[in-house]
Parts: sequence; C-alpha cells; structure tokens
Amino acid sequence: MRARGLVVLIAMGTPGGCSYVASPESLLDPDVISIAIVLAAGESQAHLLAGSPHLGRFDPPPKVTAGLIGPGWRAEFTQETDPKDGCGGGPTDWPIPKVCLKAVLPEPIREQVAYKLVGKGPKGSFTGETVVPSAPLILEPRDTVWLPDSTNVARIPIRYRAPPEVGTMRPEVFRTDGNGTGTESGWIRVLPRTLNPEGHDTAVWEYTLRLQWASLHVLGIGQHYTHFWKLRGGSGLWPKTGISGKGVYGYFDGSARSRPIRILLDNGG
Amino acid sequence: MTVVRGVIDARHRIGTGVARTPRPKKREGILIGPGARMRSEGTRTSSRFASVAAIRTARFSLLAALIPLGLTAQDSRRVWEPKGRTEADPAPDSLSDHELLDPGLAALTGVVRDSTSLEPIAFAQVRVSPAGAAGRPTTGLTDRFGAFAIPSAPTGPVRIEANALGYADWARDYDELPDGPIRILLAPAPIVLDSLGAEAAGRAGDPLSVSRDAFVADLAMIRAVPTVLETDVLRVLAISPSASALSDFVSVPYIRGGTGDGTPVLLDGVRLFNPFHLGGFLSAVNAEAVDHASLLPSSGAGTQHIGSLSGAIEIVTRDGVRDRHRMAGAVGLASSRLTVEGPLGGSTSYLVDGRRSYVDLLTTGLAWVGVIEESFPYSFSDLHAKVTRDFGGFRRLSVTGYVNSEGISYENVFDAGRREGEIISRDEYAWGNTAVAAHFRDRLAGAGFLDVTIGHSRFGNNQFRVDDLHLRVPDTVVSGGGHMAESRVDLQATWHRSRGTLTAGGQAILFTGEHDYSLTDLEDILPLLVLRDRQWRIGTFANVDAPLGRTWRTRAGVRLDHFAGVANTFAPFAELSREGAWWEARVSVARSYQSLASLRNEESIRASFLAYDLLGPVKRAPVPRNTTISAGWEGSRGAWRLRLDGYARKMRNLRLPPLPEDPFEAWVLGDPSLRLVGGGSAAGAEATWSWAGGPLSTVGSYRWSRTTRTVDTATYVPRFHRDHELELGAALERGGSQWTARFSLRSGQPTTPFLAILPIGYEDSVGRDAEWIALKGDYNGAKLPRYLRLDLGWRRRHPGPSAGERFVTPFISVTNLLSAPNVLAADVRYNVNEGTDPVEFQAVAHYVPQMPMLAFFGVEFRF
Repeated sequence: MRARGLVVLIAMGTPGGCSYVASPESLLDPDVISIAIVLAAGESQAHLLAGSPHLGRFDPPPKVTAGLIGPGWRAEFTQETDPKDGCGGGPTDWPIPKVCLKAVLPEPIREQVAYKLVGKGPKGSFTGETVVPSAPLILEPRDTVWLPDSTNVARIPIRYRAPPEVGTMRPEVFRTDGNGTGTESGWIRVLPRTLNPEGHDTAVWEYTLRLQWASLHVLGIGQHYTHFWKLRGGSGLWPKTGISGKGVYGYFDGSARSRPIRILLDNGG
Repeated sequence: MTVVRGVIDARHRIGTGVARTPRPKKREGILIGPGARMRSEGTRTSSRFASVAAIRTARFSLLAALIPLGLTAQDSRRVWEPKGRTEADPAPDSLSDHELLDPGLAALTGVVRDSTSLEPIAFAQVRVSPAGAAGRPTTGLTDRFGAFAIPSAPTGPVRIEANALGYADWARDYDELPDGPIRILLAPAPIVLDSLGAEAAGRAGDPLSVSRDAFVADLAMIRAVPTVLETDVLRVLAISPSASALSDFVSVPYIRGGTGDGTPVLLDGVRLFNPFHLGGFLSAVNAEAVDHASLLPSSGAGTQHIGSLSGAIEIVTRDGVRDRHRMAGAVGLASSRLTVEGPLGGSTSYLVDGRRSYVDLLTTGLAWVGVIEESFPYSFSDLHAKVTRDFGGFRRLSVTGYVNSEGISYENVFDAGRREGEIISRDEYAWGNTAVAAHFRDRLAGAGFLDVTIGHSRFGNNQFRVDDLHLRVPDTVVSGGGHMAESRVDLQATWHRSRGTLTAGGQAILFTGEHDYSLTDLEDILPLLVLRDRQWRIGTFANVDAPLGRTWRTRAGVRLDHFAGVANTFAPFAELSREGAWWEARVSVARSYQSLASLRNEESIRASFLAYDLLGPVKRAPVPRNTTISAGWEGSRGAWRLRLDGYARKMRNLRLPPLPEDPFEAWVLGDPSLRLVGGGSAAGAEATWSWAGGPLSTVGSYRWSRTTRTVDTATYVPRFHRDHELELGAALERGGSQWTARFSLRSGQPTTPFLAILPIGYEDSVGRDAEWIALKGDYNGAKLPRYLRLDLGWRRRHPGPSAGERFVTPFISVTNLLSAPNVLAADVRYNVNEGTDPVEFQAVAHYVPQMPMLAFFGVEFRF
C-alpha cells in the first residue's frame, strides 16, 4: 500500500519537477549578433558582416540595418552581397547564419580620419566609432624581390615600422592582373598570418602557380580588431572593440596598407 | 527534524553545563531555606580564596576586567556550611559546593545518566526548588558529559526534578540540598507525541532547544532525515540556516560565507582533517557512534576555545552502554557498519564501531558475471573505538581512537594479442585519517569542572603509478604523497558561581604539513607541489557569563594566541542579551584568528565534487582574521520555537588563489605560494523554526545572505554562495512507520554569464577554419537556475524477541523525488554535426547536473 503511494508520488512529481527550471538554452540569447567591419584606407566601399552566433547554421541570417558616417556624409549599407565573395576580408567562414552588407561611399576611406557606425539589430540599436590608422612603413626590402623559379617556397626577410595606433600587422599579397587591379590571391600565401610587432619578421612565400609578378604589402589594422582577436583561445572580460550595443559583439576598425613591394619571378631570363 | 515541546529551556547552552541564575527579585523568595546554617566568612575561605586569587593572577588580562563584574571572592560575603550529605554520588568530591556563594544559595552539582546503560545524558534539564514553597525553580542543563552545576540553588528542604527527551520524569525531595555531586538516573521511556519517540533510549531533541549558540543534531534527528546513501551526520547539519551545502555531492557544509578551512570538524575534541569518503559524499564518522553533532556558527561565544574563523562542527561520540553488551549496525547499498558496546567492569564502558564499503567487491562480482564491463576498485573503511572510565562524581576519563582509509587500486593489462593479460601499469592511490583523543574531567573547587584533552590527528595521502611494467625498465610516472597532522593539548576550567560562570583555558597545537607531489601529475586536481611546514599555536582564553540586573545578561571574553614565528593576536568577544518570560534577544561582536589556510580553489568546478583539502600554515603576518557582529532573537510559544539571527562579518588577510580564467579547467588544490592576500565579507539574516504536534514534527530554516571575496583588485561572489536557502524537514509517525521528508529550495549559485559565443575566422597552415570564443560578462555576475529538491524516506521498526531492546529497521529513501534538473555549473560548448555538408555548428549551453533521482535502501538492526 505504502509502496504504491510512493510510486504514485514519484509519477506525479517527476513531470512537475522537470518544468520548474528554465530551458538550459536560455543562457545563450538567440538574438545576439556578431558584427565585423574593417574600413580599408583608399577604398570607396565598406563591408559589414553580421551573424547570429547562437543560432544554427541553417537558420535565417540576422536582420541588420546600418550606416557609416564619415566627415560630412553618411552612407547606408544597403547592398547585400554573398559572404563567400570575401565581404571585405571579413571572417566569412563563420559557421553561423550571416549576411554581408556593402555600402558605397562618396569618397575613399582616409587614414587618421574618424568614422562612426550606426545601426539596428534584433535587440536594438548599436553604435561604433573608430579612427583609421596610418599605414605601416616597409623599410626592407626597398622595392623589388626576385624569387627563384626552381621552388615553390621562398623566404623574404622584411623590416617595417608601424604607428602606435596599429595593433595588428599582416602581410598581404596581391597578384597583379593585366589591368593593374589587385585581388588577394588564393594561389599565393604568406606566412605568418600576423607579423611580429617588433618590426622584423620573415615572410614565407608559398606559390602554386607560375606568376609574372605580384605585390606584397604590410596591412596595419587598428586596436579594436586586435583586442577582439586577443580573445581567441580563451575567454575574458569584454574589451574595447569599437562597437557597443545590447546584444551586439564584434569589432569596428580601420586598416591601411603600406606601399607595395614588387615580387618578381627569376626564371633565369 | 525532532521537535519536542517545552521539555528543554531554550536559553541554555551546552558545553559547560551552565545554570541559569534566578533574577534577584525572585531570589528573595528562595533565599534562606529552613535548616540552613550560616557562619561568618573567613574561617574557611583561605583555600578557596587562594584558588580564586590564583585565577586573578593568572595569565589572562581579561580577569582584571572581570573584577568589576563581581566574579572575585570578595563578592562572597557569606559562605554556607553544608549540613549533611543526602543521596550524593558514591564518590563525591571532598570539596564543599557551598562556599563562595551568595547568602541563601548553594551549589547543586551532579551527573544525569541513563538508568539502564548508565550513559551520560546530555541536555537534560535539572530543576531545584524549595520543597513546598512557591517560587521559581532554579534550573540547569547537563553538558555533553551529563554533568550539571546549579550554583544558586536554594538550601534547606528542596525538590529536585530532572527530565530529558526520551526519559521518564524524575523527581525527589531532599531534607537538605545535597552537598556533593548527585547522580540522577533517568529511566528510558518512549514519548508518544514525538515522531522519534520509538527510539526509547535515544535523546532526541529539538536542534534549537539545547543551545543558544548551536544547531544540535543527535542520532535520532540524524535518522529522521531521509538517507542519502547512508545515514550521515554532516548532511543533517546543512538544515541549519547558517550552513550551506557546497553541492549535492559534498556532505560537509560551509558556514556563513566561510569555507571549510575556517570550520574545523572536531571528533571528541580533536580535529579531523577531511572527515569524509567518496570525495566528500559521505561523512567518515559512523552515525551509530554519534551522540550528537553541533554546528557552531559563531566565532565568539561557544567557539572561543576552538579559535577558528567560521565556527566549528563538533561531533561527540557516545560512551558506550554499561549494562550489557549490545550490537547494532546496518547493511546498506554501498557499505555495512557494525557497532559493539558494553561494560568493562563496573565503571568502564567500551564502544567499537566500524564500516566497510563493498563497491569494489560488488563491481568485481558484477563484472565477473558480465553485468558490467569492469569493476570499480574503490573502497573505504573506518574504525572508531572509545573507552570511558567513570571514577565517580564528575571525574571521568575517555580515550577515543579513530582510523579511516580510502583508496583505489587497479592494474591495466593487455586485452588482446600475444600479451593478453599481461600487466601494463599499476595504479595505487590511498588516503585516510587517524586520530586519537583522551579526555579527562575532574571537579574543581566549588561548582567547577576541569577538562583536559590531549589529541593527535593525521591525514595521509599516497599516490603511486608505474607504467611500462611489460618492459624491462618500468617507468614510475606518479609518486607523491604527504600528510598533515595536528597534535594538541587543551585545558579548560569552568567555575559556576552565583554571579556567573567563568571559563578559562589554554591550548597548544602543533600543526605539521608535509606534501611532496613533485612527481605527481594528477590532472585537474593537484598541481606539482612541495610543501613542508610546521607551526605552533599557543592560545589562552577566558570568558564570563554573568547576569546584569534582572533581565540583562552578558558574555564576554578574550583569546590570546601566539602563532610561532608569525604573529601574536588578541581576539575579544562580547555579548549582551536580554531575557523575557519566553524569549531572549542578544547582540554580540566577536573577533577570531587562525593561521591555517586552505590550498583549495573554491572557484574550480571540480571543487564541487571533491571536498578534500590540504592545509598549510600562513608563513607571514598578517594571519587571517574574522570580525563578526550579530544580533539574534529566539522564543518559544506552545509548540513553536523560533530563532532569528542577523550577522555581518569581515574576513581579512585570507589567502586566496587568483581568479581562474576558466573554472572548468582550474585546479582543485593549488600551490600556496601562488596565493594572494585577500579578504571577504558576508552578511545575512536567518530564521529557524520548529514545531511538534501529535505524530508530526517539523523543523525549517530560511536564510538570506550576501557573500563576497576580494582578491587582487577583483571583488566577486564566490561560487559556493546562494542568496536564499529554504530548508524544510518533517517526520511523521504513523502505524509503526516513520515517514521523513526534506525539502530544499535555494536560489542558484553564481556563474559567469555568457554574453556571446563568437566565432573568429582565422587561417592556419592548412586553410581557413573557425575558432570559437566564449565572451563572458562579469565574473560570477549571473545566477544559475534555482535549486529545488525533495527527498523522502521511510523506515519501520520491527521489534525483535525482546521488544524495545532488539529490533530490525528496514529503510528506503528517494533523493530528488521530483527529478528536478538542479545544476551546479554552466558552460557553453558547440556541437559539431559532421554528418551535414557543410558541417553544422551549434553553440549550446551545457549544465553540470546535481544529484538525480536516486533510491537508497538498507536495514538497520540492534541486538
């Protein structure tokens, strides 16, 4: 008799107990969005990559409206582009639902100029502010580097100097087409991904296609981006990354490229 | 859980057998009884005064301050000569109780025992009143050795009454107040109204009623809480609002925002290090041997003799019966225990109890028959023995010995191929406790007691692992171990005087710690650590408990400590209370110090599963310090008893580890050299109530508190803290069965919030990939979901051939009956579904669960 009562009590209690606590997923707000935007000095367009990090990959991307405010003008991010096309060098491989927005600017982005970002996401408005840094200066090589044709890997010692507002320096390679415009090359890669902040490093140049010539820059990115990346591999308190707003995390920063170093293939001719 | 109405006065305390002094107005009515003979002072005072003078000139500076309170011999303007002995103890002390007392008053002292087993009865109430005269009786309460002293008893014909829960009332008339210590034998008698009354020889009691300083659980109350694997002493104490359970997996509670290192667990006066098994799940003291366990939350009155930061837990074992040999025990799911006790001659008793788990044997058997894949080679055992010699009167000597061991030992073998069955590696991990304590009590001049305790306790730990045993040169990959030990001598003298009670004592403790884990790599628990240290602590203390007028009362004292090579400290406390007819209110302030610091990192998630600690002395001043201000009120009306307390405390000079970047990866025990000097604070309001009516008795508590720790520049809420805790317990006696329930509702523990889980794209040598970061908010700035748990227990006693003496009691309990998904930590991970193209990622919250719904059962017996 008592045992039966116990069973009944357990049966009654179990479903009631399961429902009193909030769903574990409530720890992660599904409306949180991530924003990545780096203004590139000299370019007349800007890309904004927005994602929903707490949603599944195949969920719809977040609805974000934003505008960029420069000296005397405002440009809206109205054009939606395929994130696979690069989204201005943003981290398009984020395995989350995402959208890439492009704004056409009335003038090129300028170094040492302040820009503001205003926008609205699922949880409300957000703002951003940054100053595009000055470009790093390549000290060596001075102009042109000849690479041997007999190997696919070459080492290029480089020396450079960056202004204090630059937090991260990355080597960038452009293969130059016949019309002179540069695109980041998928066939050429330079390591390391970020350069030694001490001002000297060795770029390991890997190339898989015969090329005629290419160019090497040192890209200087500001402190906001750097703060954000320092979070990688760990967790910590939220640093200053140029964006503020409820449920909005990411970075808003600027970048500037050094003068190019020409890379030529030495085919013995 | 056990509640009894009106049996024991709430305004008494345990430990020293304090008597309640009548108010002066009342005193007039019971002053000089018929037959009392007065003589002038001075003729027999020299020896008495000499002893008092010795006290006055003793080391304690407090005594100078006590003189104005009227605690010196000069205040005894009349002394009383004993008229004769009545039914005094067979071996009374030769000293008179009647000296140094106020006119018309004399001292009544004695010991209350069980009439069958002759075991002393703690918390029995003794009342003495003039025979045939109306007037308020003077009352006293027995201490843990059954002794009482009523210094302000009336002389002449008196009526002495005694009662204790579970015993028939006792009363006797005397022509004259007995001179020497009397012995009162109470006959066991079930109490129908109490749910635990069936425990005829038990001394079940309301945890609030016997001490104003403590939450007291005796064996009957311990049994009235639903069993979690086994009947457990420490788990019951967590019902107290001052106590907070670290997790469902750890039995030892934390006290008022303090941590375990500040709350020593004492077994018969000696500190037990790590008194638990199964990582802390079970306490390592056999409940069968326990007389009662007291949780003392304060660092002032009641725990001054201990000298800790956050109170203490005192476990007092039984003496063992003296009428005949008896055996009791239990067979449970994980272990069995057995207790044997009996007389050794006319005045000596013994009690031996042991417990052995059979997780290893059980899992080996299950593995052998193929039910499980492999055995779990873990076991623990503990053995406790106590011998008590009663010399008559108050004089007694008891020796307690205790040993427990725990360990895992296993071998890895090749499971296939030519070398199948050949041993590859061997692991042996063993740890355990030993302790021995000797306690001697004798009578001091007048109504005084002298207690001397000598003890030694040691916790040892050894780890050993050998790899590559199949090769010519095996590789020892783990070799480490160590111990921490404490040797101590405690001396305490208590004088009960008409103007108050004076307690003074001294203490010498030598702590040694030697740990060498330099070759150990116990991932996640122990770092590479070498620690060798020792430290003397020499302490003296004194306090007074005295009335101030009609309704006011004060307790005050001071403790001086010398931490050799580190610091000298001065720790005072003071309390002022006011008594009404059915209530008492008090306010107090206390300071305490200790030099032992924990190596635990309470912020580690693993610390919720592992209660073990290694202690080391603080090597440089300042030593950890606690200052507490508290106020309380308690009263009883009818079946209700209510206690309210508020407190605020500051802890300074704590040794704390830096905040971990990831609590999931943090060590449980860390290198003490990496500790930082930090601090903490706690404040809270507590309410405890009890009620008994018919077959139902209940006890409950609610606590709100706020706790912080500060280390480096960060101030945070420690992970073990909960803002609100509600505990309810109930026991219902129905048809020979006892139903018990325990309900807990607590706010969630703090956790660091996850603002976002952000992916960061990066490019490495093999191409682009995604890495995730957990972007967190303020450390422990959010709360986990609230905690809810209901445990239910049932037990039924089946009488044996001789009802009341022999019985078998099956019991069953279910923990977390509602299957509430309680959690103790939260983390965020991302799921990777590699079955999709492209691979799908999903960030999800991950909770570390508390105890699920589990059933436990077993059988207890007594023969």
